[in-house]
Amino acid sequence: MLNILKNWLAKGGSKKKENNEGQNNKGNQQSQKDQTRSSRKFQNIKLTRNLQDNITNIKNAMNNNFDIKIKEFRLRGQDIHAGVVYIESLVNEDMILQHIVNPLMIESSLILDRDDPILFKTITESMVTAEYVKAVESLDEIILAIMSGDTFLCVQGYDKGFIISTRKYVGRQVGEPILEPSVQGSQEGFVETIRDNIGLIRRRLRDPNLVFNVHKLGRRTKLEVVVIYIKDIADQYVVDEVNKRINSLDIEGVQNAAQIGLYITDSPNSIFPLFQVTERPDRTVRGLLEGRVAILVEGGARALLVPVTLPMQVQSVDDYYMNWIIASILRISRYIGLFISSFLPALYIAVTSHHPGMLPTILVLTIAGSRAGMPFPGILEAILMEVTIAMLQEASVRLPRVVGQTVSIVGGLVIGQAAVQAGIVGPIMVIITALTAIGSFTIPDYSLSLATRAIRIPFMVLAATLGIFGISMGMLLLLIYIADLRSFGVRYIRPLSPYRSSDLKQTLISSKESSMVNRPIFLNPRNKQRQSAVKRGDRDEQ
Amino acid sequence: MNSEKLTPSQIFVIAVFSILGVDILVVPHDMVLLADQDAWISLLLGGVLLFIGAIPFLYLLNIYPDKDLPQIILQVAGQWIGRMLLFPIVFFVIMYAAMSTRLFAQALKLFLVDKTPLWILVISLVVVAAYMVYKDVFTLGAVLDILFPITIISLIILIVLSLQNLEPDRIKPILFRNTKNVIKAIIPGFYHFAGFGAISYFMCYAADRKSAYKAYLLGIGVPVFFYVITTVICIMVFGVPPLKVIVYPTLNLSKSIEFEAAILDRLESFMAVFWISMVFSSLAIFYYASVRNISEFFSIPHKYRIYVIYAHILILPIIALIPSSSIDVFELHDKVKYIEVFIGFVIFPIVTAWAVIKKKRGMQQ
Repeated sequence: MLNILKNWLAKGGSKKKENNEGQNNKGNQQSQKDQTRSSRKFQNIKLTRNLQDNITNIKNAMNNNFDIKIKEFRLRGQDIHAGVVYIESLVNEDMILQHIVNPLMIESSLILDRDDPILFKTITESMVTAEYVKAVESLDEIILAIMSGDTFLCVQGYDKGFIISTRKYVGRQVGEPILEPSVQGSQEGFVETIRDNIGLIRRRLRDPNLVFNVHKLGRRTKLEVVVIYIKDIADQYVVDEVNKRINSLDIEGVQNAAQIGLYITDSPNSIFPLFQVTERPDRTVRGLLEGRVAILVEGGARALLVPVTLPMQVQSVDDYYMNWIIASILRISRYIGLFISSFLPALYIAVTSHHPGMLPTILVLTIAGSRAGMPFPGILEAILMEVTIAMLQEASVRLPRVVGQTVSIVGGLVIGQAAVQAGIVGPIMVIITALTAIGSFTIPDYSLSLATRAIRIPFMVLAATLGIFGISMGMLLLLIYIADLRSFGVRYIRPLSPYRSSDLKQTLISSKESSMVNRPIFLNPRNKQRQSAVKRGDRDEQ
Repeated sequence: MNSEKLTPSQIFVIAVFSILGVDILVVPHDMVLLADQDAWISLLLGGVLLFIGAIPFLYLLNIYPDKDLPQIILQVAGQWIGRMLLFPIVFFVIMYAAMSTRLFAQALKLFLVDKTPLWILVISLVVVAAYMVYKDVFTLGAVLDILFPITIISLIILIVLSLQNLEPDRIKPILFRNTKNVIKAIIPGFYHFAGFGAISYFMCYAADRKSAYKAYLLGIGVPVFFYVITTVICIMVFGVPPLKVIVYPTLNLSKSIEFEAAILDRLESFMAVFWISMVFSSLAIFYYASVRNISEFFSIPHKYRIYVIYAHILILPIIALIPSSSIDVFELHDKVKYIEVFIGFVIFPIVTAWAVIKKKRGMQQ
């Protein structure tokens, strides 16, 4: 009885706790709302004519942090006080001194007579020599600018101030693309500063119709997200859809382009990547020229390309730098890699455990001989190997490069030699697993190769239960699933279906660059013609 | 995007798969039973009959370009008579889908997965087809588009490989004291092209009507071609008397092929695998047609369409598994095809004539 009573009491107690927690949650939500309001609460605060008040307001708004620097000085040697506010780590301090403080403090006395009133216009037009000056009134605009690395200039007696661009971009030098190396392509990859990235694109595409739509994204991070497209090529529907989806986001913030991709993708549950993440400017430019839309995020060294289709993700940039026959062979080998990486272990399990008759007798005997005395059934063996490979891959990504070699040695020994000798897995299973892993490495798109990893084990289970029939059913399901996916209105499966030979030769197999006169039609480009056909005969005559 | 349409290539593929299905496994056997070594002539004439039937049918579809078959029938013949005319079609489509699933499952059991119970095969096929129908028509078009080359290439490989076993003498004598049987077998030959009407469920989504009609007429030619060729080859390879006892001659045909290089033993298993996609495609088409039929027949609004699909997951396997032996299956399969002839030569002409009269009256007024 006592126990029951205790339990009852405990339950009651826990209920009360839950209630409390519920209230706390509500409280949290309330405070969150308050905070979102608080980020906008400076909107209505305007500057006053008093310099000191303004500076104190700004400092308070930014919680009096230590890195907010304020430099006060006098204009033209007179009694007119002025001040600049900036964050030391974000700005180029030399520039502030040379282009703002120096002209106002010293050179102004040379230009202007003592008695002239300092006009607001004069400051912007003939004193401050920075590249960008803008007059502002509201506090929240000022704070955002200071946070972005601009400098705020304020003059006693005016209820307006200036935002002067003094941003310093600290970042990596443009380096080699690490995840998407190319044999013959350019060796430049995107970096973390959006300005450099835009430069990398601009330098490759001198088209005045290249349009940049800038969004500020994130309640707190407020980073620039830039949507890039070529106005007279890209499908307006896609451009509008991208801008609309980005605008409708109300999120804390993003750090990378791929994250935006996950937010704005058509089906968030899809294991197949419905956007292309790339670190190569040349691939981005190629995409823009095809009529696609690129998205860049400040601080992320990747560009996002939409819409994307499955055959595009099997393309590599090198395909365009090679003879079309060789490029086609390479591309077909990648398709085989994609197939092997998804289905090979399942096919092996199905054939060995359900349909040994499908293989030639001698091969069956070899397999049976190697599997004699194995403790586990094929499916368990395969899953064991699969898990090991997955762990190895994960470990080699996480480990620092110095230690990385150990992993490959240990992995190779453990998986290859020792496991077979110890009689835990058969040697053919090792070959199958290795082939599967190699197949997945041939896929240029990292997310796509991860997707094949995700479908591998379900297919193994289907193979173990229903044999080849199970695999066929699984493939049909997968095909239906893929055919239904859309990336910004474009079916993920295009141009495999509907057939259009002109689209197919640009995506499924590679074709002569000179014969690709038109852009892929399935992207619905505004301007269909890409270039004019090269006439060999004329060239010979010349 | 809402403006999505079925391209002519997709109409072509749907036309091919609405006829080319499980029948290719049994066509040579069925036809040889009726017309001996001249079976292929009857089949060819049946194909001609198919084109004769298809053209007025296209005319009917053209009168109501944005409606599918059940909608047209209900529109033309009114709520009550329309339902009476629609009923045989509802019945035929559902029976045809169920019977072809059963036939194929049986073939699969015989040639590929001998240990798996029949009902698992039937239910798996139906569930995958249900998933297909659950997606929209355009996804169906895209999927069939991709399955098409797989099917056709496997058929061509089979034909090319069986050329080595050919004995052309077996097809002789041509039309010798056999003309009566050949003519008798034309109508049964036409049965095997049952399902040519399935396009009427898709034509209303076609992008370009004119090229869609051309694609359709081209599409129904493909199965005629393959059926005739397969029959000719089966006769030449097996001869007439053995063919009369081989139930699945096309799969046996692949069994008779031997590779010199011996890369793959048992080609028939591979063929069975490839033909899963073929039978699935035709099942998906008829599944879709049946869902549309029943939705219209019982006036079920579009938002409850999903329940019609669920109901089919239950109904189709039950019908498919009713016949207890394979002989029963063949008998039922044949009977179902008589309904097709009734639909093709009675219901379609009535509806077409009615529609034409209605249209003329409408124009006069």
